[in-house]
Amino acid sequence: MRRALAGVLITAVVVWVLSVKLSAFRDFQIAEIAAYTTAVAGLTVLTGLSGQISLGHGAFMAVGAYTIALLMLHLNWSFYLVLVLAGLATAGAGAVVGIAAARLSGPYLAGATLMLGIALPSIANAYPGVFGGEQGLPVTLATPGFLGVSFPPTRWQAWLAGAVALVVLLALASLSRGRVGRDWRAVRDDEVAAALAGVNVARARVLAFVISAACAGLAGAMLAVITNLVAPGGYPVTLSITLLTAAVIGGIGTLPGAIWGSIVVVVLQTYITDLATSHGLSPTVGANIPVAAYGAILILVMLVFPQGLQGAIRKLLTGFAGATPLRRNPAPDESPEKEGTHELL
Amino acid sequence: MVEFLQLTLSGIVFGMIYAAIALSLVLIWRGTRLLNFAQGGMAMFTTFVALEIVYKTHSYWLGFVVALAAGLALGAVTELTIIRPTLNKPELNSVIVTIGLLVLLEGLAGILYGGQYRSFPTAFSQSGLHIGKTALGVGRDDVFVALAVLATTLILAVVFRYTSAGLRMRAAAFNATVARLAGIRVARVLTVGWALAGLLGALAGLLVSPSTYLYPDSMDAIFVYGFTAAVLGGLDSPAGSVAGGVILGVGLNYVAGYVGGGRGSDLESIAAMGLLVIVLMLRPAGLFAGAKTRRV
Amino acid sequence: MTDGGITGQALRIDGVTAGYGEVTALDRVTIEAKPASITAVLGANGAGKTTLLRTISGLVRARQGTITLGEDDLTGKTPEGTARSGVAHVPEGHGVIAELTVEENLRLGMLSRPVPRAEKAVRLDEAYQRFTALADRRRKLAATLSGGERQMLVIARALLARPRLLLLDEPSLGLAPRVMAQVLDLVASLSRESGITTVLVEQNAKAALAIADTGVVLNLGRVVATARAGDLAEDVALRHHYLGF
Repeated sequence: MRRALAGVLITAVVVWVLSVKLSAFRDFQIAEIAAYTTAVAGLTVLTGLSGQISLGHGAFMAVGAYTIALLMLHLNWSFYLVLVLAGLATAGAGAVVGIAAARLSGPYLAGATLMLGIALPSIANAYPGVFGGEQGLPVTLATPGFLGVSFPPTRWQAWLAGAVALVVLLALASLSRGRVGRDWRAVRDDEVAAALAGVNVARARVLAFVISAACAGLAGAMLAVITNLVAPGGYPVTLSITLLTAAVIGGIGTLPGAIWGSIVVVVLQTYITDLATSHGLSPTVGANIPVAAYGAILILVMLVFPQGLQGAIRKLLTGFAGATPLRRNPAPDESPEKEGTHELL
Repeated sequence: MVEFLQLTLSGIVFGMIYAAIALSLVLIWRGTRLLNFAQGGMAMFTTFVALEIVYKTHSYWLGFVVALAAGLALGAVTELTIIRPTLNKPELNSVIVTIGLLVLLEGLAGILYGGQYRSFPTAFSQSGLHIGKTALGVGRDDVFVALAVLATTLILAVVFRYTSAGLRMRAAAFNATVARLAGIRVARVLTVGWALAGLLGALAGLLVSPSTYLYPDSMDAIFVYGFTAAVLGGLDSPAGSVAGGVILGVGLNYVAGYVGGGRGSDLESIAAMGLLVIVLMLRPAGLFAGAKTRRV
Repeated sequence: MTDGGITGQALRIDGVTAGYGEVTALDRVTIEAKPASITAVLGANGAGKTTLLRTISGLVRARQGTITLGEDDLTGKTPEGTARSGVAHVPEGHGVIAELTVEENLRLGMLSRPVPRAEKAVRLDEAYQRFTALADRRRKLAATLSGGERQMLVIARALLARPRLLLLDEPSLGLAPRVMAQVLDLVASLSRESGITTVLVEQNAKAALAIADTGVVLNLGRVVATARAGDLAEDVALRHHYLGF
């Protein structure tokens, strides 16, 4: 746990320095990366630690975003309170989904969550009076007075998003080292054995959904704040898949991996779109190259390097670090070839 | 009453399309115990290929045939290159790999063909059919759609049940070890299964794109409905896929038609999801699961 | 039963080592089975008998050593490959595909090498004449057969391939004593008639030695005794030590 705290402190300092030194656009990107990290961290814990695949986490981000937008629009409460409420509301949604999904596994779970990701945002279109329809709802956040009049709002958002991300990372690190994390890993590896050992399998699985949904909700809320908008078009299936891509690239089941994956995904998107436009390619093409790239990356990483970036880093550092708390089991591709068995990660 | 008839008939037609996707998923599931998340994306891509051919040659049927061939090829290539390496690895790997393929195909389609909604021609006229003065709600083309799927299903069923090739595929799916010991090249059978699934997906894409328009994400919802139909019918049952498809198609049509305020069509996907969750919670083996259980 | 010209061939297993992961199940095993003979492979559970058959048929890869059948080198071939070379392996416990009908199971036996339609019908007829219980049930699912009937089915299927080598893994497992005797008698007479080289793995050493020509005893992956079946059956010390009777 001390290592996690140290990591968080170092990251906080790095983010602070960068946010001051870099341009407003970079601050926006930092905030974006932080928001993604929050969501990806939850997803990587759900899938990597408790072994439940979710292809619909974008839907939870939507829940968090719409909650915060509606609360800010209709009530005048403190932002921090509203943010927490958004997280709680999404946690509730996560509980519903988790309970429904408690007996599902593997492709059934993946298919059902994919459906969630597609279906949930369409509610916003069905009830435009409440949710603002295609246009969506605006979200504005004022920079606090004590920072002074000329303080760039993007920098404040970067700090805010960064703080949320780091708090979430710490909380998840603590959970995963504790009994909750142990229970999750036990359920992931062998449900029957876990049940025999006294673990309440259903509760562990639902809890994982609740927590990862709350993370996604917080992330969605932050993203709405920094983009000033929440609209159904912002939550296509691609978003859920982007989250998964980030988790896989970074190293599924690892918290630092959530950071690496989010950086790759956000930077890649901007970099490639810029590259495309500077070469005179149409914006549609430019928008689709990252999409195709995610697909190719997912395939390549899974076939060639299933442990992702964090796995590579850890390999480099072996000999220095010792046991890494988040992963005590064989990494995705290391299980020996077993004829006819299909194991969940 | 007329509206009920129209909704039912057009629901059956849509249901057939979901059935085609469901069948392709069941084919792959029986052979490899994997769910091919890229099935919709593959169907979308082959339909774009068909569109190109139709533009260049002004022949619908040529495009049709080429799309089916492309489906066969795409299915086989997918199995050989990206699925084979994941066969003995954890389940998560194959889920991610097929999702990766889905996203790759959608991105490629966006790059090559752009993101706008493209209209896709129908095989036959869409003008409504009538019995006497009553409009049936379906046109000639819809009848073609239903018959095409039915015919393909029947042909596949005959091949599976009455030919040596079909026997090989079934044996390989039920018990790969015994099949190998009988000299069946199980790996090759797998590839053929994926190729056939690709063909079914391509067919579904061709038949549904006139209604949904064609764009990179256009098959996402259809895939999910096809998956739901497959689950409804039982992932091991081809006949169940057809039944599940029809039930889903008709049911969703009722939701779209009867739920008030014009929000019916937006709520279709929620309704489908609700149905999926209910079935998965209550009868995960599907509505028609018989006494047969798969021997491990 | 007309054999269509099958002559058994010699099976030579030379210095074969094989195993699963870190476990070595076979340690430099050398066995020779004469053409058209029945070789009983005996030993306690875990001795490596099943692994031996799986290595011959290709389900397990030999790490060292060679396996030849007549002129053909079987070492390193896949199961599909050995099947095409005329090896029929009837695995322990599940040789029958329960979801297929009896006739479909039988037809599986004729898939390893191209067989003309007419010939298939001839072979099937012969099989039904010999195994009347199967003839009565040909369109029923194999799941409906009793244990003894399933063994019949599995052996009938193996023979339909006109194999040069027949590998039987515990054919009497789970069968009532009377049925077990029938099955082993069947194996004996089939082997004599068609001259197929047969390797028989059996827990019931006494019954196996009664029909076999040669006996091989495995213990912990090694061959500890090879002798004529009659001699082995009379070696009381050996019987007690390794075979339990």
